[in-house]
Amino acid sequence: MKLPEDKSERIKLYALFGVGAAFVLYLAGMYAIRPLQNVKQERREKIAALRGDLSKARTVIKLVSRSRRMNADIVDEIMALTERRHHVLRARLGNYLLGASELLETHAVAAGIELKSVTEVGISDPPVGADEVPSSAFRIYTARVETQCGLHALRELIHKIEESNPLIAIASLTISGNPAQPAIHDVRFDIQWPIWRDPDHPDKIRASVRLLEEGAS
Amino acid sequence: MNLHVDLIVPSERRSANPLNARSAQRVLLIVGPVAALLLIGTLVVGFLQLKWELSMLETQWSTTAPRKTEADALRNQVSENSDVLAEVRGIKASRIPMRELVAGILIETPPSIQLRGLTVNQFPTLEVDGRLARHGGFSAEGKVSGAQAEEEVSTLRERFTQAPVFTQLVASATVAEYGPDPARGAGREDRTFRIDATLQPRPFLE
Repeated sequence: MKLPEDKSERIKLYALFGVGAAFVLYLAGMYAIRPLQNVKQERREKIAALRGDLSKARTVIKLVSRSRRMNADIVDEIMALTERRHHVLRARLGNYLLGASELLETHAVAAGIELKSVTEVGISDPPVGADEVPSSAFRIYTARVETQCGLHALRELIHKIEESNPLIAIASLTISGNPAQPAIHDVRFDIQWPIWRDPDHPDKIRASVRLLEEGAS
Repeated sequence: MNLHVDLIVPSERRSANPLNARSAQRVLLIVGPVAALLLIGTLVVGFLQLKWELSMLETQWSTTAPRKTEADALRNQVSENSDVLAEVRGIKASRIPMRELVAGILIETPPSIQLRGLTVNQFPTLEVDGRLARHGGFSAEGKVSGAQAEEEVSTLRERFTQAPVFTQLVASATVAEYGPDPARGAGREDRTFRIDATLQPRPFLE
């Protein structure tokens, strides 16, 4: 293209080119470069987030075998404390009293006491705050025992009950003198066992540990 | 007379400036598009590089995510089971040993005092800080005779807090009742009493 000979004409042409080039650059910036930069920025952010997630995930995954071992140990200890010697009372034939009575009778016989009665008081929840839902894995089963016995035999019975189960608690004990038989006292006590809120809880955690062990092997 | 001689016609005039318009125009015609191409190229390459990197990370995430989900589930399980274990340990640790308490009361009561009744209790309750603890107490009723009756009851109250068996169990003990025995046929010096004791709370969590 030949430029005009006239200088002013040429300057006008340059100015026109300049304006055109500026307009083209503006359009390119608005409709090509800026959206491209936006997409790039989005991708950069996505990449940074993914890198962070991957790093966190790798840290968590690294701890899996340790967590698995820890979980197995915890479950073992839970089972040892609750199930292996029936420390947490389990329902038999749909009720807890049968199991409770049998255990108490066994201890009473060993202490040389005849129990007058074993009755069910009920099932309650451990106390929680006013606006809290009970979250404990356990509830409390209470049975009442009435008997007449000497103090030595009573101490023996309490000893046997407490020694046999570290989770049991004698919630209340009343000893009243018996004027007709000074060596024999009227005794009444409430005894409490923890019971599983969900009776299948131990089976569920055992199954989950087995599942994890199978997954690991 | 004026003489005007045109040695060169205007189109033949050249500027003394080393950067003349024509050469600048030529340079711009080459450099402009090359710079624009370079800019566009850089943008596109950067864009493609990010796309490639993102796709690579997404592939890595697609294999890592399920393992992380499993790991998270395991961590939750560990946390839930730890809570259960803490609860079981708490039940065990917070129990007030009834045998020790009853035996202590009977041993520390001298033969001169006749215990007529004993009530002991323990119950879980929420502390002010919201933590669960087992509280309890006992109430011992008895009869004592003689001029030293009041002193004997006072000594018994002290024993209920200071005897080695009670130091870790009893927080305080008070004589809640003391007076002449109201029973028919009771002697002039016969006194009945009731000592109430508060046990030290035992938290469920250490």
